[in-house]
Amino acid sequence: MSSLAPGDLVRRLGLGRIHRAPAAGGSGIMLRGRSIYILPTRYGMMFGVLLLIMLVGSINYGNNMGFLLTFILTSASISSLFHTFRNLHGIYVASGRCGEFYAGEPMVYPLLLQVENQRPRPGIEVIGPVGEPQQVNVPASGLAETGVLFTGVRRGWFKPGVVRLETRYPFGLFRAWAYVELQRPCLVYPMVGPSGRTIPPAAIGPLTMEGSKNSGSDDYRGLRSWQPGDSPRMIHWKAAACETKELMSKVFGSQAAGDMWLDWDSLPELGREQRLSQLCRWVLDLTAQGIGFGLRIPGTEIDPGTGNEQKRRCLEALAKFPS
Amino acid sequence: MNDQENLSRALQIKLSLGVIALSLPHLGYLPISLAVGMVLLWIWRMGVSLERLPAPGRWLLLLVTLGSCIYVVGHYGGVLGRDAGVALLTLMLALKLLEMRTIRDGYLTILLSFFLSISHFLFSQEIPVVLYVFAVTAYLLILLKALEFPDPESGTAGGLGLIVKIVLQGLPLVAVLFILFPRLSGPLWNLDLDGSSAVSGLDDEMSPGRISRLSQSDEVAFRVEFRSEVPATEELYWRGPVLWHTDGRTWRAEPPGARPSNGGETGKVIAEGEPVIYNLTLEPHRRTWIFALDMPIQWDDRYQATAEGNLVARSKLRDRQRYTATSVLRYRTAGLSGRDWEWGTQLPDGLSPRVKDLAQRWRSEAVSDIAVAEQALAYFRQQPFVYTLQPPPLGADPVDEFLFDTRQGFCEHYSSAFTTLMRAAGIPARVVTGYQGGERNPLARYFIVRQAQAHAWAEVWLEDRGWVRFDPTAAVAPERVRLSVDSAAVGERGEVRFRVKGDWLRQAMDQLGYGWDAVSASWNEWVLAYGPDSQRALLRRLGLDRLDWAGLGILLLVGLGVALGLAWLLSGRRATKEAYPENRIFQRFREKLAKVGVRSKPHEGPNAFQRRIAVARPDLSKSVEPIVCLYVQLHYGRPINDEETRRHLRALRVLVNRFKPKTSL
Repeated sequence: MSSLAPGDLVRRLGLGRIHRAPAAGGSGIMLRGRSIYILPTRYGMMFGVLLLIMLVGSINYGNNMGFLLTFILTSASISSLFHTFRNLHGIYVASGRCGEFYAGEPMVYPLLLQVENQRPRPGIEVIGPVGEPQQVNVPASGLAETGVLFTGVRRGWFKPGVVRLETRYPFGLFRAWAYVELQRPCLVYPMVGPSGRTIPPAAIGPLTMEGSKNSGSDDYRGLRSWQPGDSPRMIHWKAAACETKELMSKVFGSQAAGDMWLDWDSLPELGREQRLSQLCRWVLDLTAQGIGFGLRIPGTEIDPGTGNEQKRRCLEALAKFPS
Repeated sequence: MNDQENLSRALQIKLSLGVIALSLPHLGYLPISLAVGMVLLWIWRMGVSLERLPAPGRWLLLLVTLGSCIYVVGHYGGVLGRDAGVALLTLMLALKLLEMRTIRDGYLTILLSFFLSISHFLFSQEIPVVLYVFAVTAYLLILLKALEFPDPESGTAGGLGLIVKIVLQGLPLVAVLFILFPRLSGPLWNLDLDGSSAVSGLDDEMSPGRISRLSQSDEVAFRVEFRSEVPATEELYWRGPVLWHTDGRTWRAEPPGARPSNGGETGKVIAEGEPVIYNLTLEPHRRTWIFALDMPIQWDDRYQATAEGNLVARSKLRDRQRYTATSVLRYRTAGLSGRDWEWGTQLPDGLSPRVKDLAQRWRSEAVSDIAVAEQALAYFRQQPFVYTLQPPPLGADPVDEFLFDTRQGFCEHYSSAFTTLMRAAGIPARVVTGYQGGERNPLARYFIVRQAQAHAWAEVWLEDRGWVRFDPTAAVAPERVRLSVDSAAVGERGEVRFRVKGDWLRQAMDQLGYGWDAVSASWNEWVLAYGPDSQRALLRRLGLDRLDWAGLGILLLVGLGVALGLAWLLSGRRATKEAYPENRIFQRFREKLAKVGVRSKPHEGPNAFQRRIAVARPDLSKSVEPIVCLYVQLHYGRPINDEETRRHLRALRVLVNRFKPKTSL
């Protein structure tokens, strides 16, 4: 069905004026009559031609059962047109909860489809600018989660733009569709930079220099992947024996005193986006390793910390960095 | 949509079964080689689906397709015409099944199958055929839906529910279209529908064995409903083709090379008895004869009378004919034209001397022409003539052999021998073919005349009375004209039995048969015969007299508008049945709120919802509170008695009806 996208047809029919008239709405949009378009599919047109031939044949031979069959099929297809329309009509489309999105990676903008009444909505397709349509069934008086795929998104606030909702239920003879433009943006974090670059010593706070010597002491704080130079005593042998292929090193509390500082200024040789990418990489790595860190970029300084909340705060700061 | 996706195996099998079911009735019409080939293709298809046989390669399939197309074209001499078209269509579908793989193939197969559905009605529009075709077509619609939206939980049965709903919603539209769609009389163009299939019925020539073959057919020739008093069975002679010319063996309507008969010389009929009025429904027999009771005096404008007093249509009958005619059973005809005299005394070359002598002897003994005819009838009665459906074969001079040697025969033998004798005696005579008798359907008010009642008799020209009917068969087997030939009971050796009351089983079967015949007669009359005339008559009854094409068009449009509106409304009805009536009412309440932007969240109970409304829309909370309270009590509360429940429900309904929230500013 790729040869005849509804949009093309609408433009070809000179309906371009109303073509891009997405149902506007803040957090959600109700699909209503005037924002729903409906046209026959390729098979619908073939079916129409077929009905016409059947009608002419019936007229020619004055064949009453021929008439009856032709009329029943005609009425069934018209009635199916109504069903196709009603399958889309009254769906409430809203944005879902944004996930963690990184620039340059494929992202799935979350959509929620909600139905208020007792009519279930099978076979609703959500079509974004790229990728295969996502098919979803919305139960009666219920909710379905789906998403729209985007690629090549850039760092910062992302708005999904116009997304098409489509259905051909029940017979595939008609296609009803509507455009929705969702206003709620999602924040896209910077592109994750390449791994391998070590955190420059300049970025390590003065206390850490001493502290790093006695990294064998008291409080256990978590695991990170083993690095050359880690003492064998730090290796978490139990985990190495039973779970992972990778060696893990135990990280101990005294490092808390030596939290790392991820600093914009430590990467003078990189451009703005590369710097942000590199910082993003470090945020992710350090979080995974359970090492505390702080972030210092022009205009923002985030105190050292660990865990997902710290990660989120830092990534948001990086994402919102003016470009 | 991705219609290049593969069809599931279950769907492939179901589709194949649907197409096979739809093709099955056509097998009988196909040449045997093609039918066998088709069955083999189906078996192959099923084998592929069940993974027992390999799928055919592209080239093999192409080869088979080309080969079978050439075969069909060769066999039928083209692709035009009903039989060739249907053969080709069935074949293409069988081949399409074999290469079916993707959803796209599924769509094409189903769409093509609808053609196959309608093609059945070119062969038959009888009730069983119609029911069968519609059932299989409904199954195809279920599959059409399942192509893209397979429904694992509900399966075929669930699909059926949807199809039934969709078709029912369209029924008003079907009714409007069927009744008001303009009907034309006569085809737009004429493709040969006859095909190769023969239709039984009387022919315009008669040779020994022709009519006796018909006598074994139980098919209905026509049905008659008398509007005046019903004549006795032995008086029911239904006039068909009149045969003038004989070569000693075969009788034909006209001598070879005769100019087409001109209707101008219609013999005048002088009525001498009470008129008999009747409605006759004639099955299409692909000839122009229009049967009427001997002798018609008034008939439909559509038909013309011949010089012999027969009715003919202007073209060969392809459709069932329904007409009213008036006949008189006692009549005289006036005037014998020169042509009639010439044709009526024609004798075959080399008439045997025995026949000539016999006729001449009667001639010389008798005082009048009528006495000669009586003498001939007496001869058949007195000599040992036998009435049988399987007479011994006759040689070069059938009349002579029959009269003097074998003396076993059927109406065609008797009438041709009698007519030949009359002519040999110098009296103008002719053979008339048609039907004799009729069985009354005890469950309805009409008579059935079957092919088995085909008959042939003679007419003799008498100076003072004109053409007079003589039935030599009746002289030999009087029960032939009192009772009808029982086609189901022709003995092994051809001895004829007549329809008499049999044992109880036979009677029960007869009753069933008559019941069914009554049903199909009304089906023919009320549904299949609906055409331009009945359409006009119906509109007249509705008070829509003198409606021209434009008027009919406007009426059709208005009807369509109403029916479409109805279909639209019906399609909005919700699918799910609600076990708890309060839920439906509360649902309406929630929809009203949703319209003004207050939406209940999926996992939010009614109380939580109410609290949220109170915060978001304090202006509404006063009217919302009693509704939610009542609903919670009804739905979650302790069961109360029915009377109380009803009262609460009514209150809830009233409250929700009155609830008209406004959009917040």
